[in-house]
Amino acid sequence: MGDIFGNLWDGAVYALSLWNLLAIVIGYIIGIIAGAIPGVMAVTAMVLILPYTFTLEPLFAISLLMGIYKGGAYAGSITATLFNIPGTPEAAATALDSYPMFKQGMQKRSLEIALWASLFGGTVSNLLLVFTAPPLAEVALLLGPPEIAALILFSLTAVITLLGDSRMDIWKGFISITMGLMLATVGLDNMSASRRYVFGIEDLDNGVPFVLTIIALLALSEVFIQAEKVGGFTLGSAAEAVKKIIPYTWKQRWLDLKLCLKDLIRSSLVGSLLGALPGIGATTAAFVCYGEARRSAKKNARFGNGDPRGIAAPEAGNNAVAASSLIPLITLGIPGSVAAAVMYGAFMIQGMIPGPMLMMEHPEIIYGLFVLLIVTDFMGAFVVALPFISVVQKIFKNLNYSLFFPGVVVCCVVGVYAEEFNVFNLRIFLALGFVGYIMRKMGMSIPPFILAFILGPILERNTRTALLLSNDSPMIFVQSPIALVLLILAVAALGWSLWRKTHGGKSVLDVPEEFKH
Amino acid sequence: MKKLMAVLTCCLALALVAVPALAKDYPAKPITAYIPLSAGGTTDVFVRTIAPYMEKFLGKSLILVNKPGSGGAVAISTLAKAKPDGYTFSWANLPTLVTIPQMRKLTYDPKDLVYIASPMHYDYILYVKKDSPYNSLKELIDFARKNPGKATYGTPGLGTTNHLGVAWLANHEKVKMTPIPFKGNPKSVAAVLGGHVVACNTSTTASVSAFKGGRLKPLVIMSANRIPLTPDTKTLKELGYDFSQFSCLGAVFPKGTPEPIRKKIEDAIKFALSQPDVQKKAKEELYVSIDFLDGKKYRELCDQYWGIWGGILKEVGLKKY
Repeated sequence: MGDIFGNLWDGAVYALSLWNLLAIVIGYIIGIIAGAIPGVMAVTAMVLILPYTFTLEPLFAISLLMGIYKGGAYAGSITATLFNIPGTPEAAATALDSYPMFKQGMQKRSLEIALWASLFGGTVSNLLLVFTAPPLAEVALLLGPPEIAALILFSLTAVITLLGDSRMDIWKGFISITMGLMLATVGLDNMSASRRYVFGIEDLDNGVPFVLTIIALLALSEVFIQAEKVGGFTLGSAAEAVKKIIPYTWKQRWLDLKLCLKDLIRSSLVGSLLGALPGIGATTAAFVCYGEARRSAKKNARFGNGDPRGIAAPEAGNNAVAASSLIPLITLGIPGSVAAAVMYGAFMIQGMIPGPMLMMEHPEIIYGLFVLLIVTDFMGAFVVALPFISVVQKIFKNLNYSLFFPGVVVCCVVGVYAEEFNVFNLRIFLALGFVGYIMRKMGMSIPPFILAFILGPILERNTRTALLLSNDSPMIFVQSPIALVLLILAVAALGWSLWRKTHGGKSVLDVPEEFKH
Repeated sequence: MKKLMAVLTCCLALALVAVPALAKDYPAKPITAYIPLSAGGTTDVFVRTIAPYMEKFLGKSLILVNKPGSGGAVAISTLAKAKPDGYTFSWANLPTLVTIPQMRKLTYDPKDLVYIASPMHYDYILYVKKDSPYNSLKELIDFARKNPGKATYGTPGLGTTNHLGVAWLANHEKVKMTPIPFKGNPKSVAAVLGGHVVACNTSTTASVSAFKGGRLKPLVIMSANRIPLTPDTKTLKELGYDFSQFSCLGAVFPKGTPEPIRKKIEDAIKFALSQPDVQKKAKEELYVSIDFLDGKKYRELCDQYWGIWGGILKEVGLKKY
């Protein structure tokens, strides 16, 4: 333990230069802008920046990328709160409560809760990375294909809490999940490359692109819904939508912290654990944390209607993924997420292979990185994010919806096109936007669709790999104790939620009609 | 008819004028290059190493896009549909051009593609976990003989040479070993570390970190020559097998890409490889063997290995086309 502190001190001495701190701030600004624009992901920004890091100092380059990564992880919540348009998919869960809270005039409160929760989750995850990376990496290694498959199934049950309350709503939710899973199977199958559900259209061979689907369903369909309200040539301004703005007092801050503390801690730990597993990602973590917060809440909770815990839990969870997704990279040399792969590339460009050897040969670099990670969260929050949200709020007061929403559509289209430079994708984008619009109109929930779409391929791949390992015997899912426990938990969670929903008497989760998407 | 002739002549004239003009200005914008395997593998790292020098030569940036899946076929099928204007090319691992087309129906024909050049070939090692009871290839084979199908090995996809190399070995020894495809070499290595598969046949780079960290035990070098990373590990040939696993990395353009453009990228690759920096990095940090083949030689080699790997595919019962 003393060793770690010694190393951290050396790392701090090595890493904390004015230039590196500047890199963090620049990176965080880029990340926050990329993250806040629907259609542009922080990872896209990282990939674009990566080539330019070739001539930079190693830690300057890495600070810059970390700043983008962290800034992007937080920024999705800003547009989620103000417009119900999550800038990143992982902020979709946040929108469920932050948008309703904003509509009640508490925009400062919801933006700040998201920011402090991000800081909290990020910091917990940073500390876990510093102090428990090796054991966490071992845990992650223990989870093989059958366990990952079971874990994904369990994660999918988190959406049950998002389904709404009446039997009708629950059925709609299941249709939504099924549609998401089905859409995920389109294209060349990942294991044997057979073509599935492409109807002879070669453009569909690569499947329906991930980013495109998320933006279409989250952003474009929301714009359609809003366009309805703005319609009739009444150029309503945003400020009119919110009648009065309620200030956020210190007392209220303290009460919110007390209320959310348990969820903050749980979500940070869950997010960190999910982040350490390869390929699961921040969106899943956010939804699982949201689901857990809602499941464990008492009856008087106002989830879906602006409950602070509904903002704190997913934000802490999705930001906790950022640092812990670097755990497999640093301890084993295996990049577990797209962002980690970009970091891998950055290390490579600097002539270093991340992994246990780098830790042994150049501890000052790894510990310097740890120090920078910890600093990034605080500097990002206080130096960049806090001024940024106050500026955003000022702009927002004078914002004209009829100009803003077309702007969103432009950003989305540019983002979708820039992903693969394929015009066909724009057609799918538009079509899915309408699908999302119809789904919302029919009261079908969008988040279950998205979660199923993200998790479907991972579930399929791991299930099939597990069956290969067991020579097609499904017993492999029962023989592994971890998988068995997760499967039992999944069934129990499903059964319990459904029972609570259908037999709970008066509705526990009071969701007003207009927030059902 | 006269009108048609006139139109055709005009088109031809335009084409003749257009091609050099295109080539002279090429590249006028960033070029997208697909990487057929997941980030962190040898291919990915090597490409990211030479890319900056290619960019320097070309004067425009390369947008590197990882398109893993299906042993690389996803990237090439995407490429085959791209415009042959020189702004999209794909790095191609040998299987996507040689073995996969013989195994399943694809949306592209590798013989149609324009072969740019091949900068290097891969080296392969068969590893087990450090605390695994098997200390030699023979012991692993014996285990497989006694427990048919229980000897699982990770590969970065069905039909990759990683898979076929071990498949050849199993077939030659008449034992049953089970290939498990993962999404790229790093995940296959992780599966060995986690004890989910018994062995993995991986390209060198993806295993460097775990090997140097003392978590992997090399059993045999699958490729032709011994490698600096594990100097004491013998090759298949040294163990008496008349076989070695060959695969190289190359670059391809979609059908119909003009020759001057191909040449330009070939030159860019050659330029990048000539950098002392790249050579040093390839040897000391990436553990790959630089071995430049121009477009023509690259194509010949692929044609030659079409037959060699095809024969093994037939032996192991995977050849369908």
